[in-house]
Amino acid sequence: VIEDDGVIRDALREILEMSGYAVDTAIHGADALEKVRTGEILPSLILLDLNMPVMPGKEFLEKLRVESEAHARIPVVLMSAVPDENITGVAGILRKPVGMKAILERVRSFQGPA
Amino acid sequence: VTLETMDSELKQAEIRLRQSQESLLFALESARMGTWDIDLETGKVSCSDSMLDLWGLSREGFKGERPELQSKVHPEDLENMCAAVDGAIRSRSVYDLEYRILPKPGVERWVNSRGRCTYDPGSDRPSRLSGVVFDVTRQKTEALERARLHDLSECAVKARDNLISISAHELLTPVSGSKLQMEILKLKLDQGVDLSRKELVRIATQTDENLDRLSMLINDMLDLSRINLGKFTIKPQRVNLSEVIEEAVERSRLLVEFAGCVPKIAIVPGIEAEVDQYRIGQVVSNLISNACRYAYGKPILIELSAPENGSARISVSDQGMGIRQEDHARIFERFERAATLDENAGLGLGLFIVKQIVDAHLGSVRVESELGRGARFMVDLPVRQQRGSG
Repeated sequence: VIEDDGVIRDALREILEMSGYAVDTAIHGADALEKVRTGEILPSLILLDLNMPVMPGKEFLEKLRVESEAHARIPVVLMSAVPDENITGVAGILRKPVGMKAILERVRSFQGPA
Repeated sequence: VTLETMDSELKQAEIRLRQSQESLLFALESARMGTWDIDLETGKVSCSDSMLDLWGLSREGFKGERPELQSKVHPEDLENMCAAVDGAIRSRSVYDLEYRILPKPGVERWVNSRGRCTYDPGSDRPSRLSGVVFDVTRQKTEALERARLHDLSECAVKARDNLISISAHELLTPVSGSKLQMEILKLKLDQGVDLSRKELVRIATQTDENLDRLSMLINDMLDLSRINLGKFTIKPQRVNLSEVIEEAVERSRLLVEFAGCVPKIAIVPGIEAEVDQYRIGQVVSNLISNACRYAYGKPILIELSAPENGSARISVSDQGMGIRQEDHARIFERFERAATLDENAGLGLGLFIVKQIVDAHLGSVRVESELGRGARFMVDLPVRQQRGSG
């Protein structure tokens, strides 16, 4: 979960953890890139906010795509109030304000066979 | 037919010709139109008085040379004009173009010039070039003004659309957070989960903050609309300015702490001034929230110094990213910010509103800053006579 707003970030973590997912959070793109690079596991899904300080979502996405082939394959779902029409190659877009149900439905759709 | 009758008819024809020439000249003059003719063999030019008039030349001084006319054409348009004339000669067509002439120092005129070439029947060589020119300065000026107004209104529409999009984003962030939080709370209540006091306090505090954020954004938008409609007014009262500023700093304390900033306060007590205390409080909190946004985790200094030359100075200094010299004036305009949209949230109205409030108090606001070296915003407020402004 990459989101600069603390309330939204904590709420997303709580919702996902309540549903049994392991969640890692980052406060902006640069923070997330650092975590993805040094992390031991690759996330199965990234929820990405667009408007963030330091490194906005769009820039993070570009950097992630060229990081490695494995990184480039991570599905990314955008979360934004005003979706940017110019962003392609994402697995989906969640429009803010996004509800718990919509988030869980979207996240579940990426779950591989258990 | 006798010679006599022929002679009389000739005289009649001459009179009619002169009459028609006179009425033609009158028509040319009235239409601010001139005629000209160039003998391409000799290079000699003959033109109507109205043409010379347009070109700012006198009949006596005019030697009938082509360069005399060309020297008055605007240097930026000369090449274009020559190309059009040459093209028309080659293609045996009529040229029609507009260009500027400089008849007298400080006078610029737009003319519409149409001309065509005639060719020698024997050799088929271009022999004469003739045409008409109209003064179209007024039409052109009006057209340029219309284009300017059109651009201006297009800019305004874009700015408004931009504001709507930015506002939507800014408003939806706190809404999203609180919405998710409430959904979680509801779910836990439904499931009969015992909520700790600590958790409830956290939820209440965050909801309260999100609502404050929403109110601030909405107030900024309302202020913008008041400013745009010319309905922005202040209500000055004799108050203790030092206390007004202290209170504003106090109200911003949470925000400052959230940004990991350390507030340092140096307020000279007991300064009296006739100001709108709500608006001056807004100036201080806007400057502080600006500092927090750009100077994450660093100290912020808020000062009020004793009046000098009838003005008290409020200043807010940060140690953030700083502002380039060339941006110092721009940041006080609406929808402007020192950094790009993606990097720093907000409506881009904070400093614009600060300036409007300070202007209404007949004060002044400016920034001292260099890129990478923090910024110091200084507001000078007259503390004696004050008048509200609309």
